[in-house]
Amino acid sequence: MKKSVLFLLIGIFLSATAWAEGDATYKNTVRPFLAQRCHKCHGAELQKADLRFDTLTLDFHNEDVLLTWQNIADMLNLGLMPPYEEPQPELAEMKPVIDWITGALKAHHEAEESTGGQTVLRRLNRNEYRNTIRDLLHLDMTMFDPTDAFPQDDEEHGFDNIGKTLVMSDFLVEKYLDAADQIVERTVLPAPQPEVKTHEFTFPIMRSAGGFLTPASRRLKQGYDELFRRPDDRWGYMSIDRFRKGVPHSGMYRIRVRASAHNQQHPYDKALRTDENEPMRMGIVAASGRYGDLRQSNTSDVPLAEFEMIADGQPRDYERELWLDESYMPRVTYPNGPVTLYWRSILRRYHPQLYDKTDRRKLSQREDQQLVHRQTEVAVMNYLGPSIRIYKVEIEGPLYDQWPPPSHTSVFGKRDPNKVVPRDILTRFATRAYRRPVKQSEIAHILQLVNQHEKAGASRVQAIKMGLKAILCSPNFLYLYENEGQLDDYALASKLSYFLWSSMPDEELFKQAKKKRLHKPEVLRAQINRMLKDEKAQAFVENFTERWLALYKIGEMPPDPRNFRLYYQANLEDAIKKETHAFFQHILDKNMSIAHFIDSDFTFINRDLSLLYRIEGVEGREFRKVKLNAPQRGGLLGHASVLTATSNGIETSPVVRGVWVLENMLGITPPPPLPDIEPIEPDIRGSTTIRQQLANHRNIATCNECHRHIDPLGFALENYNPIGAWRYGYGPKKPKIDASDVMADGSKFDDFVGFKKILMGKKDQFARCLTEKMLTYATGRTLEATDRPEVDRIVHNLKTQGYGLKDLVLLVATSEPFLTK
Amino acid sequence: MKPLNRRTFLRSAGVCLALPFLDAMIPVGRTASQAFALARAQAAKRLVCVGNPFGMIPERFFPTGSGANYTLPSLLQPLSAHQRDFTIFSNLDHGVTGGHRTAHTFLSGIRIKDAKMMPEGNISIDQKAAEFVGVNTRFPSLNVSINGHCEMVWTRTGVRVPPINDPKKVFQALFVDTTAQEKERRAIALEQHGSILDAVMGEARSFERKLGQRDREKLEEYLTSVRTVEKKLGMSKAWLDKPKPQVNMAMPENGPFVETLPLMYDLIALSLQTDSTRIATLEVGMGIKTTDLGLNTNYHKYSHHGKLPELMEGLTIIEKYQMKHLGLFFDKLKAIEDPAGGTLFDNTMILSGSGMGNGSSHSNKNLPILLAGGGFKHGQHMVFPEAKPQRVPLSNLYLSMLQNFGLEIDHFGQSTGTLKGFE
Repeated sequence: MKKSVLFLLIGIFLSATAWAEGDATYKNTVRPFLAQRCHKCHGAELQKADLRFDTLTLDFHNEDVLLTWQNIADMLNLGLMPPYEEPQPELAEMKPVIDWITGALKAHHEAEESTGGQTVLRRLNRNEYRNTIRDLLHLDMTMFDPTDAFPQDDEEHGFDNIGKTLVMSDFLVEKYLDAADQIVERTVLPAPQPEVKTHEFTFPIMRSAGGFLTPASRRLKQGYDELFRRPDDRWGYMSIDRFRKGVPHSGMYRIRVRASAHNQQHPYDKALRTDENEPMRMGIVAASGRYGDLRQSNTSDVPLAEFEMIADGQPRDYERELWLDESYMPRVTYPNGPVTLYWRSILRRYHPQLYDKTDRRKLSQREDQQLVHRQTEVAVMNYLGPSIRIYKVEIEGPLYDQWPPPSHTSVFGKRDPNKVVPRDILTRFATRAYRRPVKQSEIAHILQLVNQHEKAGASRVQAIKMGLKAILCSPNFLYLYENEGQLDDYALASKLSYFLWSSMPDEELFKQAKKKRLHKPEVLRAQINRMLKDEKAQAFVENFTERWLALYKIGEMPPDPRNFRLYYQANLEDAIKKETHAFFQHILDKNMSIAHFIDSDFTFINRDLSLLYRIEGVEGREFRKVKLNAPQRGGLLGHASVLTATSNGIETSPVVRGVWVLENMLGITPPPPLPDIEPIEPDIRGSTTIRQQLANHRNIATCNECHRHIDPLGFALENYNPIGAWRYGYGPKKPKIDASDVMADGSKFDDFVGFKKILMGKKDQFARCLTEKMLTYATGRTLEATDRPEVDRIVHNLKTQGYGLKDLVLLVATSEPFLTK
Repeated sequence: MKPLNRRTFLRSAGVCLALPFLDAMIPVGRTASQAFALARAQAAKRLVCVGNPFGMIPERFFPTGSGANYTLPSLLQPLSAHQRDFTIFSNLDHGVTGGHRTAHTFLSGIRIKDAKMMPEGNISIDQKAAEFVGVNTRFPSLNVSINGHCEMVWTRTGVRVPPINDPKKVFQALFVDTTAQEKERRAIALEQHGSILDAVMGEARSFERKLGQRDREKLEEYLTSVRTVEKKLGMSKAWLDKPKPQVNMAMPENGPFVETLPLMYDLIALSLQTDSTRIATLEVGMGIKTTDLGLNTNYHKYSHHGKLPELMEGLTIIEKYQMKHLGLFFDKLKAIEDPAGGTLFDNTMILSGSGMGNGSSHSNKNLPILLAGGGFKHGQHMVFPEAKPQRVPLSNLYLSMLQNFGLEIDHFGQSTGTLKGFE
């Protein structure tokens, strides 16, 4: 890149300009500039690179024209044109030209993207489909996910429920057909209630030891099976040899395990990487032999329960009633057991007198194997580390509260399925599935299908099943229909329930819709309050935070297991999200101020997370509210979830974190980097800090124009490492961290605490950002310029009412964009 | 990394395999079986694409010299026996930026967010080829992976095709016939699906009448999709009755990672040899078990080497390992005779690369592209211009490959023509 021409604004805050031949700036500035500086080579005489500007129109719908203008802006921005042999224009001369072109292109793209402020016919996304099936058919979804095979949903600005963006494909239609088969087959149960049976298993429960015990050592220990390590890909699952086919029927089962826990404290300290201060736990993980080997991690693994154990060696019964799908087997695990367990290295380090020092390289393969077996036996017999012994497993069931189960009665009621009238059954079902009353003419094709099928010899139940499947593949089910203008009460009921529950309306909402009362402000408010209290509202807490805060990025990039052991050891991936969910939930329930998202003196953690945050005195797996005494946490920016989602698991980037703060807390989307700027090639051999590296980047004026808005916000978070732990430096012999900076508006801060104070001063800007995010999520469309007055009104009212989060939900759900199409 | 939800993975992948047909490719006026026989009669071309998430260390992948007499750099050493049979390309890429979030453009050249502006979306080269020859084989394409994926395979509707990551499942899909009972069940299901689609199509028309213009356009996606599936059903039924080929290979068992990669290559070779498919892709994921290679942290960490020698060495071991098995795969294909003449290698284009040029800097520039086989003139290091105005899009190579495959097209992705100087 050449010299210093480049002081041009890429315009973070550039607003869209209209583009027209008659525009004054265009006529008086842009055109003359091109004529003077460019026409010599790109004009009537010469058309270098096949480009000609004197006849260039503003018809952006012509792709060549659009690309040429984009090209002009890029070349000027990068200082590549005019060529260096030519006289160079001054910044003051070039800036208005670039600003105008950039603005016009932006306005064009926005107009192209516009949906006229309307939500485009929106199909259910995966979450919504799964939840809708659950509520429509009262199915237990613990081990059943009909959307397993669906492709990932498309995203727009991080949201996965935008009507315009969610596509339909032949691939997905095939999956809908298969899903409908599975759903209907498990809903309609023909047989009488299965008998309750008790299956009992005692030593040896798992003869083939799956690699963690040799057959020989197993002979030495009688009366119990033993678990030594936490489950991973290859071992650590106690599967039941004589129960490979799993349970014969789907239903609730009483599972009782007689077990004892040993040696929570042990002499092997760090070799095993267990947490000796944490109670040992026993887990139940179900899986089906149909999906793979039951002695290893299996693609169908579902963790069902965990028990805390008293590690005094006394056998006790641990019992729980759990749902098991047909063919699933409950397996026992030791989830917080040793991460690593190498029998021979235990002997070498802690029992040297028992260690066989033979040089293994001199042994034949067979001799070597024998040595390993022998040594493993010795190690197992002399082991002083933690283990769980299992004496007996009992499985009793299936137990049903009612028969036929609710899934069946949700379709057929109490009547004999072979004597019902298909039209009645299907009309009733379609009414719920389509979330509104259906006309007979609408489902005529489906009724015809059922008739034909029965005429062709199918039983009545079989024929009805066909109809049910067809309903689940109908566009009336798969898409959320909204009428134009003011939404009718049924459309409103659906919009509300997909906003707050990510699922279909319940009976109460349907009732209010039927009475045409739902749109009445007082009814609407009462319903929203009722819905937020329902446990289904957890879907709003989880899905909205996931999308707003980009928490879906957690887990995309694996953290370095060497530097961030705790991440894997304490299974932080789940814990960090739960903190944010619990925090959001609390603020919502109590209608507390959204300013808590910027800074707060409390959060929710459990023991695992307390280790990361170095907060003492938090025991157990449950999340609880804790008061924060140190200023290093507090507010979303101190949440490990946000800090992990904004780094790549290996190192932190102030740019990535800065962009995140801009987009998700301040509501500004910076433009993408210029097309030709290569990312910095990191060199971590020396002691250069990220600040120095970025400073080089920022010496380039074009880059600096955006980076001065971005980088300071990220530097404020540099004290957090890639998994969100606090750090003072980058490691031994590396520089200390400097988290101070100057914001683009000139305000200075010394560290994270000072930065939060500045953010607190931008509370209104944050309120607007959160409002826009929530409105996007609630309506399933991206916002447009025409939404601005309504957003302003919501933000104003929110402020007047004291910034309560629940108030914001109410304001959004009673706003014009939400109530109309 | 979050352990991939393997359940999701396998189930979805398994079903995706059972997708044997795209009838748009049957020439007008011919029945499927006529088209089938016609294509068989000609020597069939095959295509294999292999990708990884982080690219290759550029200094150790790209040769210093150009032309035919270049010295093999360290990462290409494992391929030395084949030097005359492949080509290395420098300075080819898709002209996009964005690091990991853009690496999915490897085989398409189009970012997913730009897909809707393109006439064929962000279709990847393998799927484009599969649309062309898919009618001839049980599987239009075979997508497999080890330890994760790199978002490599995309259809024209912007759907990412998930790979199968379990060799056993691949083997079952390719070579194990389902029971008569299961076939019967599937046949009934297919029959029923046909009737269901008829009914919902009827219902969709009355639904459509209630919609405004913009929503109608959206519903059109649904109508088109249903029509496509209706056409596919017929072919699915036809394949159901044909027995799968028998091969001289035992059902693979779950083994350590180091054995999985060669196993996948074996399965791909067999799938081509038995003409079960003519298109295969292999995605190397981020989750590969580096401990099996004697290393002590993960692939991702090594890719962020920041020029630290220790980490660069680790990454080199991982990348060399991939190259070694690519070379062994070449050996395998060279040892298999193609009944139509020559060896399988001669009639198979094998593309290896990544959507990332330099994992450490997260650059999507200058991708590590290697092409072998397929009847091209190989043995060179082709260096294309580095400076922007003259830069050549990687899609030009893809266009050349697709034409070599038999497609009569003059455009693919961001191509500006075929790759000049490469024949």
